[in-house]
Amino acid sequence: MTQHSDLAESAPTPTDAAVLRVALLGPPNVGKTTLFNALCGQHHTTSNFPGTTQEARLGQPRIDRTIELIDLPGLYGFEDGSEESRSCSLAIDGRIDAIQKPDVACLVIDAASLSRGLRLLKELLEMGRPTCVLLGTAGRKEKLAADPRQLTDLLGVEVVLWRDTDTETGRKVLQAARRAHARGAHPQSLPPDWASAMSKTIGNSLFEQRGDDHADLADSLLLHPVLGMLVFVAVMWALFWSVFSLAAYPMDWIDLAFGYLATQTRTLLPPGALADLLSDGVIAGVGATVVFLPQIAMLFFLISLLEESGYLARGALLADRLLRPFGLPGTAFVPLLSAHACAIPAIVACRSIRDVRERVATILVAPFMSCSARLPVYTLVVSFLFADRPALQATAFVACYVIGALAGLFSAMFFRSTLLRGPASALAIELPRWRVPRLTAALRAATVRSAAFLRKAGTTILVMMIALWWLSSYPNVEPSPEVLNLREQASQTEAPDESAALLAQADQLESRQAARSSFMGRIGRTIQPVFAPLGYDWQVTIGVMSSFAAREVFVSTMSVVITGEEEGQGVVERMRTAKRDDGSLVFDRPTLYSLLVFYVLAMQCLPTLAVTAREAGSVRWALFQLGWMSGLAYIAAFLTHLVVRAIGG
Amino acid sequence: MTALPIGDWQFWVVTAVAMTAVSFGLWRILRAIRRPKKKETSVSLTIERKKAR
Repeated sequence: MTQHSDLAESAPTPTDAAVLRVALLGPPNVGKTTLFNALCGQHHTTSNFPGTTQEARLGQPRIDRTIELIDLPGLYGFEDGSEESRSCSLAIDGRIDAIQKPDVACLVIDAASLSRGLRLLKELLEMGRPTCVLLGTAGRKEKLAADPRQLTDLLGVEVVLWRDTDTETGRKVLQAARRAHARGAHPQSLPPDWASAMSKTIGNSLFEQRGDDHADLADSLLLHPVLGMLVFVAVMWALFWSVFSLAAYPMDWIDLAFGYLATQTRTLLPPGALADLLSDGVIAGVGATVVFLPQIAMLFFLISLLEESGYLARGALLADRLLRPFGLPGTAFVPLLSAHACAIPAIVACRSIRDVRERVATILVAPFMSCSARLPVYTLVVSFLFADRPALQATAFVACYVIGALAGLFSAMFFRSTLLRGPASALAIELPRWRVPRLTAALRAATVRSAAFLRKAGTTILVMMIALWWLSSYPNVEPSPEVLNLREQASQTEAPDESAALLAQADQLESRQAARSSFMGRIGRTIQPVFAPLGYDWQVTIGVMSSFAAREVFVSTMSVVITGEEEGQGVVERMRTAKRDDGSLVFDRPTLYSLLVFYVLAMQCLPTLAVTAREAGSVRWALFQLGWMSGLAYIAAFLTHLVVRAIGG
Repeated sequence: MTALPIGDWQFWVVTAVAMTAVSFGLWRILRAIRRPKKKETSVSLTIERKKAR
């Protein structure tokens, strides 16, 4: 379906202003964005999941620059009351800024759901819109056998069959759009049962070869209330286990590479603040976050494979049974699922929820779902808790996701029975057909997420690491008498090993004293009493406070704030052995559990708060979200610390 | 005894870098806050892979 190179071949740019505007319309999950990407050489997200596109996009086909394509969200009808139908109605009427009124509607229809597509065609014909139809199989390997000329005569609009995504099909679609425009259209009056009658007439003669007969059996098993749920949990567990096992090696390589880079920087530059800033601030700080790139890429690659296969949409149906008792509509599942990647697009996706109270409740709880920004913190803490035990690590990882989801559901239940009281609506989701996942699409999804992660590491995290390094490096302190005494002892000792050990001890003591006296140390120690009940010392407090800008900053902050116990330690090892001022471990077990719970629940993302304010319609909702989530995180982390310490964890 | 090493040129270089980083961070935050208010429709638009305002 995605032979972009064929379709994306260049054509001359038009010299006249007569551009034909073609709107790509159709039900969700029929391949509109796949066609748009292929024709325009773009790479917007596509999947085997209804509602992937939530925005309008403009592009020019490379094979014909005199055409402007408008990719629109999928819809079931122009007057079904959904946000998507409203957006599409506004777009085809030319009532959206920056989109001129389309000249032609290109309706993409999945041949397996013909009557649904024909209902949309009926609406377009009744509106008098010049229309052409692209009839395809939404990426499945079924063969279409219909004659497009017969279909054109029968339906009264240009019909093109979408057998392969190649140059020829692209050219045919654009030519059909031109012919539809040339022919024009007038509002028609069609009988109410036109769509179903046409669907029956065309019927099964469309297919040369139908899809898999085992699909119904698979669905009956995978959608079973008990068995289906068990399979769902097992699939998720296997997914995380794979992520941990397979990503371990590239993570080690990245850690080694950044360690080597820091050492080389120190070797090449003269000793001083510049070398320290580059090696300890920039390289160690950014490296501490980038080291998690393989896990993030792997996770999104595997999730994309599941989505491509059609399994995630089945997951939505299973989840609907869970959502309703908590007062959330079935349509909330899609935003909540996408919140596991990032809460921002998830909150935007809440536009598809019609009821305002249900929409606000979903927006408020969406950030409870474990997003990719939490992954570095989860990975760090879980690897400290269960070193070299990937099965336990995977279980802990799944538990983090479950705790986040449960906190979100119970919060929603509370909101829906108090502030946002009202009944929950039913889910209407069309199950996509099973298909073999496309590796290219999964690789693209992993690449896009990885690139976004690296962009953040190169901007937000880099900026914060430079500022944090400065604050943790100044002002300078004179060595304490204790340090001077140790160095004196080292110079008088004749045994080289003993002398080196004393010098190392003096260096550690000096760096710990320097860290304590730095601006950062002072800030941390001022705020630390607030987080003391959770088991955090001033160093962890700095990490927690800095991650209110973005969660993943925590790991980088710790790598900058924490001083090493031994020369040449890797970033992760340095954190694992870090000591508090009293000499005990910074990351003891009660603190690690408490930290994990805090990061699962806390609202630590400024951009998400900004989007909440915009989408919920008030800054007060964003402030409420911040207070609710952070308050809950604080209490839960406190109780966790208390319990783990009490049982001697 | 604590002090800023004002006689060290490297201190001024790293301070300038840190100030630039902080200014960049503040500029990004201000830019996000000052975004224009919601338009009549909630449809977001991408033109040739770039977000349109």
